[in-house]
Amino acid sequence: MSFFRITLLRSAIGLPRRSTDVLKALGLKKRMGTVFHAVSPSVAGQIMKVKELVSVEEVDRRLTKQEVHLERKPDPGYYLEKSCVAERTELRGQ
Amino acid sequence: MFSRSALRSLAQDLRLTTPSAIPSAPLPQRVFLHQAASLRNAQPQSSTQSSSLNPDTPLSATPQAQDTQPEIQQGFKAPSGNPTTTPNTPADTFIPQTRNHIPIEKQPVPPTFDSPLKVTQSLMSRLPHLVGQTPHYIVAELHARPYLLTEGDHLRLPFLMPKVKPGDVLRFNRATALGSRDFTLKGTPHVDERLFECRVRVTGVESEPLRIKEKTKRRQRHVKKALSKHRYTVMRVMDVKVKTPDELLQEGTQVVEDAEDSPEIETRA
Repeated sequence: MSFFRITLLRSAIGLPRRSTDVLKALGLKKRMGTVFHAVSPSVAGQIMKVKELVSVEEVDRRLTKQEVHLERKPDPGYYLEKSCVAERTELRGQ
Repeated sequence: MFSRSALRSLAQDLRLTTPSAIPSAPLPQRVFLHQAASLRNAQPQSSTQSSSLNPDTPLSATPQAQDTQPEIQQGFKAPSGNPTTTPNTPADTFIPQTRNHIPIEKQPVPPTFDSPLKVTQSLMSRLPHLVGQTPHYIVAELHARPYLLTEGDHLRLPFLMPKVKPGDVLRFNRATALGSRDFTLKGTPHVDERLFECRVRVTGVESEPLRIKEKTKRRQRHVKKALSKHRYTVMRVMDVKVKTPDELLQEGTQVVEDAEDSPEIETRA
């Protein structure tokens, strides 16, 4: 089963009430919010109504909120090589 | 630094070696050694630029790197719009649900390597030039923010680093560029961490002066004061070292033939 991954890129402020309502129906509240919906004709029609505002991808399963977050998380770029405690014990041992 | 004649001879040397060496492998991670300083004299520059500038060398980090390393890179690629990578690597067994579920490659833990580092011949042949010029700089990335560091630098991070104490020794393992005065090894996007050593000692914690922001509401005499006093970790760069080819070979690095279809070569004039 595949899912639509829908991200709201542009706000519906200033657009007809219809657009706002469609976004609400899709569960999109603010920009860059992401929702997952199973692929179906009704969802496809909703997306078509707001196609200028959203970006759509097809994915295999619903990603969890944390997974979506982790996609954007960079790696730290450092690690602890030697703690001060270890170094002290080393120096005492000598 | 290089005298003009020395540079010229070097350029000729490179010109001799490069025609075979130029085509370098199209591995996912490529590295460029280029000569910035050859600008000064035009004649050698034209020769070096055409030939040696692009010792574009693929140090593929992805295939050979250890368990954690390649996954980190996939993590980097994921934001570019491939949502399936995240599930593929860690989530086959475990799907992160809450904010505490952070995969190991996104945590500051020492990496473990499965397969040896692979370095192309062209990089191996040019690495001595970079290693020979002693003061090296590194553009290290911490949480995707670049810091240009040299040995002896004091570094005040714009945040308080968790779980470190003064006296701890940290290794920076993410670099976008390594260089000396005349040469730069550029990562695409990162230089493999087994090519260099960058050690940093935590020296303490600094704090900014207390800031008081007065918050007022209309028609009320009460003034709310919001206090803020941030703390920052201070550290000192112990060493920035590029490993020599001999050291790399001792560590079991494999030298790879340059592939025939060379990746696009960046030349910096």
